[in-house]
Amino acid sequence: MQTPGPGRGTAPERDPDADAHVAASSAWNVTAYFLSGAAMFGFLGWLADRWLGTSFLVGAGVLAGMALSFYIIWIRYVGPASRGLTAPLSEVDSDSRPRSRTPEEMQ
Amino acid sequence: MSPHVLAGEAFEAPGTADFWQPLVGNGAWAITRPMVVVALSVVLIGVVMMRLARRMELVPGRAQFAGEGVYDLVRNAVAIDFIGAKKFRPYLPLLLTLFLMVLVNNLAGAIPFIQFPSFSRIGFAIALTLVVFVTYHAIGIRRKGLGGYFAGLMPPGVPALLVPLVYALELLTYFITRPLTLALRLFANMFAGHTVLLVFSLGAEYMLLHGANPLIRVASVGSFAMAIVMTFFEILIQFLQAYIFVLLTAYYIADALADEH
Repeated sequence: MQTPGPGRGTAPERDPDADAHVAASSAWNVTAYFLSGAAMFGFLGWLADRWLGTSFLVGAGVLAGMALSFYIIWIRYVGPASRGLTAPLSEVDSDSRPRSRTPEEMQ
Repeated sequence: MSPHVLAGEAFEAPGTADFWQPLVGNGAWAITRPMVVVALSVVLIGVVMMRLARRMELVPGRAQFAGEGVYDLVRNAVAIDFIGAKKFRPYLPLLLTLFLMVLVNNLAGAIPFIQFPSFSRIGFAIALTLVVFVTYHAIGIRRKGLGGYFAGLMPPGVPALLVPLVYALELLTYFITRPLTLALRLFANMFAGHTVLLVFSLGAEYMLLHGANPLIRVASVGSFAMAIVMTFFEILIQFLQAYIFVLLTAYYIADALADEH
């Protein structure tokens, strides 16, 4: 729902490309999660390798970290608990929540 | 002339040493070229924006049109789209300042005679990122309290068994990976871009002045041309990196403002 505020001339309108901007930043955030996962579990694997004298745990750790990252990304951006790619935003401001376009606007 | 040419016969590829350019003094307390560029950019942005703001007219002139274009981009495509129409106002000055600061200092890499993107020195990128880092955590903590903020980092609906793992990864992402990637992305893009320009222009210079035969000297034209083409490509990257920097800053602020998940 976009209701113009009282006074102050023009009410801020949400840019039609907003979803594209949000998707672009989500892409960077997804990358950040992958880096975190791979770095954290890779490091734990490397420590375990040094402790046990093995050499495969660092690789296993990186893979496990990536898997966990996939899980978090799913929870945050895709799964039932999320609200789509705009998850944090729709909670911030219901006025700027992306709405589906009506048939008239499609034309 | 550049030390690469004076050094002698062999061509020395440009490297990290080319980015250390002390102008006054040397060592840790030297005043370097990027320091001067940043100082100039602050003066430039301050003077231009204050003059624009003071002489606002209903029918904008060319300068006002350009200034309003930048302002509108940050206000509409970044602040409102991410933080929302109700809450974006307190954060707009910070976002606009960051955008102009990064944009002008990046473009300095393509401006003749200045030709140095300040953020190709990582210290400058880290300083700017620290501002963003402190800001978004402070906003989150002020809004939800220290305990509430740290509890809010945990996404909902995670099985109890996975909670410690997921939480550790969230902490790492919010406190290390986010600032690290924000600083590195800007620094690495500026550093790599400027290095490419150095390779083509120094390579052309070397081929022209030290080419073993006339054919190589003629080939330097191609290298010069590439230096020019890549400069225009760099301008695109310089703009894009400034945009991405504020885009992510706005996202982090919006994330800190979001209610409990």
